[in-house]
Formats: sequence, structure tokens, C-alpha cells
Amino acid sequence: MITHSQHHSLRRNRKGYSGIIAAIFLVLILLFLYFNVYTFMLDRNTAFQDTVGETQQMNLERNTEQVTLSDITFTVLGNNRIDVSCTINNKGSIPSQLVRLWVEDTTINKYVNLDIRDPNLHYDYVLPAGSRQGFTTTIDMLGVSQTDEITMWFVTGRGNKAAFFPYTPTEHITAREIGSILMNWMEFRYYDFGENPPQPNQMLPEPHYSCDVARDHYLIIGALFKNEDPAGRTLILTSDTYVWAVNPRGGESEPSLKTEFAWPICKVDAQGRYIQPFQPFDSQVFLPTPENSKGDMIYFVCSPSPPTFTGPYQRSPRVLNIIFYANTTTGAYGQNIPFVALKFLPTVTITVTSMPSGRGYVNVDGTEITTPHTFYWFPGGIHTLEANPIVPGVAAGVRYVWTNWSWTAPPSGSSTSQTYTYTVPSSDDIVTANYQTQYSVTFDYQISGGGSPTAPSVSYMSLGLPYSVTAGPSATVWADSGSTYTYTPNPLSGSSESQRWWTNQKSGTVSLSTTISPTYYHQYQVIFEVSPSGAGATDPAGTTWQNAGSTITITATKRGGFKFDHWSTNTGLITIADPTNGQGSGSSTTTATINGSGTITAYFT
Amino acid sequence: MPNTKNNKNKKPKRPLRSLLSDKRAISVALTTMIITAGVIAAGIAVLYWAYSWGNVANKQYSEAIGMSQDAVKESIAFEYVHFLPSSNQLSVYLINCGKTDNVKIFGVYIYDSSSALIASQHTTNNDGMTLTLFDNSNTTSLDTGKEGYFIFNPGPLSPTSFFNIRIITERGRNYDYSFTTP
Repeated sequence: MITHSQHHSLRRNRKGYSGIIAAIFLVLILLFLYFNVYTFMLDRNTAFQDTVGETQQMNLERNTEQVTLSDITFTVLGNNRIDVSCTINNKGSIPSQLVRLWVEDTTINKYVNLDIRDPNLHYDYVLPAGSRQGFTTTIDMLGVSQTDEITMWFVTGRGNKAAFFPYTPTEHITAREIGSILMNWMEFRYYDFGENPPQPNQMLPEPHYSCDVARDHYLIIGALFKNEDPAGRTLILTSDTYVWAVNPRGGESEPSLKTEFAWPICKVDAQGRYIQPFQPFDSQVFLPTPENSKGDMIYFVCSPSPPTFTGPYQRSPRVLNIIFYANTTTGAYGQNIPFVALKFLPTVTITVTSMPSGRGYVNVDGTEITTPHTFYWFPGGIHTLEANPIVPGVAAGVRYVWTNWSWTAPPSGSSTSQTYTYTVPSSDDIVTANYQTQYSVTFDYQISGGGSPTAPSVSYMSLGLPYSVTAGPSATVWADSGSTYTYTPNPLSGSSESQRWWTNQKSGTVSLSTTISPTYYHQYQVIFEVSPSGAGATDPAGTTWQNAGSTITITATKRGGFKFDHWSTNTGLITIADPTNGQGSGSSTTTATINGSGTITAYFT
Repeated sequence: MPNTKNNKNKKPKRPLRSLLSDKRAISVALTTMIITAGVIAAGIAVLYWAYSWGNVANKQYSEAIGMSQDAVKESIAFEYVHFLPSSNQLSVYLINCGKTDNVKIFGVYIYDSSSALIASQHTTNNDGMTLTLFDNSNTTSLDTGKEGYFIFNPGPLSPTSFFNIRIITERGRNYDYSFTTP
């Protein structure tokens, strides 16, 4: 309350009212500025929050959209036209708008596209959630033929592809920053250690460049990245650097699905050996990546997914977030970076082996393996098993020839397709490339005792089939191990009733690489007789074959009251050394040299 | 009495006369009016300046934030990438599946499977690369829901090989895709 004296002094002070007015203006200006800034910030924040919400909704819808194709058929009409038909399935929870059809002939490297929003086509291109719709159209493609490899896909308004691909390439997801450092992820891979954790100094197995990972295996994940920070700052990874996998479908709305776990960064040496997780004083320094450099790898060890990763969402993509508690020249901080979406899938154990086992027998998906090799594959996956048709053995004269593939998973079976497209079953399996061991064998022969008979033939087995070859020093063939061979005929052609070429080694079993050379003996027919008949016996007796040029012992023994008298022969080609040996006694023993066919008679009196 | 009467008659005219005759009083009044008017004028000027400054700042910040918002809402998807070896032509088909109009392509980069840069192309102005819409008209920007393509000659690419392509938009967003040469 202004008193009378104050009012009087105010009236006397000519600057008093001006000051009050100025103060009012000052307050108004301040209020105006404050209000302006407040409403401005409120407006901007609201707008930005709306933008973020709108973008999140857009991304959510794009990730939720799930349109697939089935029952695809292509019918080439012969006049450069194709009838295309398929069933479009909207398996997602939101409607989907199809905007364009693409058809590609990969054989002739041509493609066409069709705007299916064209009202003249009369297609209902907005598919309600959960709906199925048949689609048929005819398109023109110059040069197409029925044997071409043709594929198709639709593009949706959200930028997704509705396709029927047996394999969807991994889409590279690029994280741009760690904190304020500009990072660029270049490549993702993982190494599957199966059910056993990697051991120190263990070599990393063959990498997989897929986002489908075994949920029940130990993995080492590798990521190639570049430090592209324009300020040239250094990034230092320490034992506090972790990688987190989270379930993006979990959260406030579905807390039971909110699962996340962390994996430590680990060391892998230049030889590709796993060393150990980072220890407290370990660090990895990433200087700014030089131009034209491929970047640097970081690795982290992944334990099997926890049991909570089961149920209907076990195949859902998990965003692999990376938290770097990393030091830079400007300080330490952490940042959550969406890196890549993984699918954690159950696997079956597939053992690919060969008989015999070793390296060089089998290629799996284009890579040579050492058998037996255990794979952990996803059921329904398709892999190419290729058997090397002929594998030389370590020793000379040995080789292994592929015969077929066989597997044990029910229903067990076999395939004679050398390049076998293997569809992974739902249970463990052993797939074997069966090889036949073969030896290089030379089927020769020898003649003992002279003569020129016709060379024998040899029957043998190769890859289970009978073959025949004329024996001789150049008759070298590949014969199955364990199979039998037989020389025919025996005696050889050219023999007669009086002489022959005969062997007692006409057959045998192939068990090593060698030259098989049975001996054919030149033999004469020699007949032993007793006179008078029944007076005694001889040894040898009857009709015999004696080697040409051989000297044999002959014996005669009396019967009853007879006595031996002498030996006699009907040919000069047989020489008896002592024809009267034992004369008058009960027996005689002497030798005979055989140089021809004839009869030797023992006479008794 | 006359004096009294005169005094009574003169009494109402006394303030004006005294004021007119009192030069100091006139000066005080004028000064007060001038100062008051000056203060009001200065206040209005400052108020107007603050308003203008606020508008300018608001406009500039809105533009900056608006560009960021547009960048956030921007989304480009690859419909198809096709390489024709006979002419070394790479056809890149795109769709604007985001919520932002006027998306301009400023650069394209091709990397091989080992992430080595194979080829690149940039625009030399602010118009963006020329895109062809499916009605064969040309444009330099894609609005929401629109599809278009551009043809780029990266030189010969290894057959049956895996390549990555990255496009950069005017707002600084980049989009990656992979393709295999026939």
C-alpha cells in the first residue's frame, strides 16, 4: 500500500513511473521468452516422440509382417510366356499389401516385374491377417524355356519380400556407432563347438555365415568391424565388454518371454586358436581403421541358450545387442548396439563318414572334410554331400572307388547319386560314403616243362561285377579286395589225352597289390599196369600225369605166391633206372624218368 | 469584497496559469512523457526482437529437428538388384517404404565379399541421382510408397560372386543389400 507521502514522493520523482513501466515490460519480456522457449521445447519434444513412436511402429509392423508363398508352379507356354501360380499366405498378425511381383529366370538371367496394384488385373492385393489367397497370372519373358530355373517373389508395401526361397541370404545389419564413435560392422560369422565348450588352444572349426544358430551348442561368434570414427579416436575393449542377446518379443507386454543373457568377449590368436575369455587386464585396441583395410575381428564365446528359450518363440529372431564398456581417449562409457538378429534353433547330430575314413573322400557343401565329421544341422536343412569317385591309397597299387551313400536314420536307405542332396532329418543320422577297396593286380602265368599252350583267361571282380582278362605280363587290372579270381581253362587249351599243361593254383583271393603268376606244369600221361593181372600192385597205379622231365620213384609189390620179375615200358621216352631191381623177391623200387607219354608195366612170375 | 470576488474568479485558472507560467513544471511533464514513451517503445522493440529471434530460432531448430525426424522415419528397401555382365549394368530397384517423402539417393557403393570397395558413384549436386519410376518418368526423389530404379555401371564383376551394395541418402541414412552375379 502506497502511503500518501510515498505517492507524493513518487509524484515528485519524474523517473518513478517510467521505472515501473520498464519493470513491467521486463517482466513481460521474460515471461514471453520463457513461455516461448517452453512451448517450443514442448512442441519439439512431442514431435520427436511422435516421430520415434511412429518409426518404432513402422519397424514393428515391418518385422511382424510375414507373407510366404507356397504351391508355386511355373508353366512355360512356348510362346515366351509363363503361367505363374502360387498361394499367398499372410501368416502375420497384420494385413499386408502386395505391390509388385518379380519373376526371375536365373538360367537366362532375365527378369520381369508386374505392378499388381494395377486395377486392370483385379487382384485383391491387401491380404487380411491369417488369410490365404490364390494367385495366377501370365507374364511375358523372351527366351524362357521349361527347363529353366525360375523363381518369384512379391514385394510388400512395407518393403518385405514374400518369397519361396530354400535359403535366404543373411542380411547385413549395420550398427553405426558405439557411443559417439562411428563403427561399421562388416561381417558376421560363428563357429559351432557342439555340446562341448571350446578348450584353450583349440582350433576354431569351419565358420558358418548364417544367422541360424544352434540353441544348444557352444559357439564362438566373430564380427568384423571398422573403426571409422571421423575424430580418429581409439576404442579399447576390455573384460568389461559384453555381448547381450535379448528376446525382442519379450518385455512389458510379454514378461515371460523377456530373456536376455550375456557373453564375454574372448581372445583368438592369429592361428585361429581359441585362447580364453578376456581376463581383467586383457584389452584389445582398435585404432582408426586405415583405408582399404578389411577391419578387425572381435570374438565372443556363447554358451548354450538357457532353457527358457523354448516354446513357440524358440525360432524367433533374437537381436544380438552389444554392450561395450570401452575406453576411449575421451573417457569410458557403454552403449547398447543392435547388431544382428539370430535364430536359435534345435539341431540334430549328423555324422558324415566314409568307409574307409580319412581326408579326400567327401566334400560337404563344397568343403572337403576329414571323415568321420560331426555336424550339428537344423532339421529340414539341405546340404550337398559330394563323394570323390576315386581316392588313391597311400600305398602304391591301392585305390578306393565310391559305390554309394547310405544312412541310418529311419527309413534307412542308400543312394547312388555321387552328389547327393541331403535333407536333414528330425533325428540324429550317420551318413556314410561307401568305398570299394581295389588293388592293382597283374594276372600272369608260368609254364614249367616246356610247350606252348594257349594263354589262360582270368575271371575277376571289379566293383562287384565280373570281368575277364587274358593272363600275361601286361594283364594289370583293378580287382576288388576280398574277391576271388579264377584261371581258366585248366588244363590249358592245347592239351591232349597224352599231355597237358595244368596248375594247382587256378584260383585265389585278392588281398594286396601284387603279380599273381600260377605255374602250369607240362605233364605226360603215364599208365601203370601189372602183368599178369592181379599178381601185384604198383605205386603210382593206374592212369597218372607226371611232370615232363621229372624222375619219379616207382614201386611194385607182389600178391599171393607171385614174385617180382622186372619193369618194362612201351616207349623210349620213359627210362627206368633199374628194371630188374628186386627180381625174385616180393617187391621192387626204382625210378623212372618221364620224357613222354607211355605205359610202365610191372611183371610178376 | 472585490478582492475576494476577484480571488474567487481567479482561483480555477490558477493551476493552468501556474503550469504555463512555470516552465519547470512543463519540462517535468514533457520529460515524463518522453521517458515513458521511450520506455514503451524500447519495450515493444525488445519484445518484437525477442519474438523475431524466437521465430528464427524456432524455424531453424524446427528445420534441423525436422530433418532428423525425416531421417528417422526414412526407410528404403531393395526390391531387386540385377547385374547384366554383357554391359556391366547394375539395375537397382528400390521402394520407399518409410514415412518420409522426397528421399534422394546421393551415393552408391559396391563391396565384394571381403568388404573391399569395388566401385562407387556420387552425385555432384544436391538433386540426388536420377531415378526412373515404373511409368518410365524420371525423378530425383522418391515419395512414400513410390518405386523406382537406377542403373549403375560398376565395371566388370566376378561371375557367380557375392557382393554388397550400399546406398546413401540425402539425409545421411544408408541401406545395405547383397546380391550374387550370374
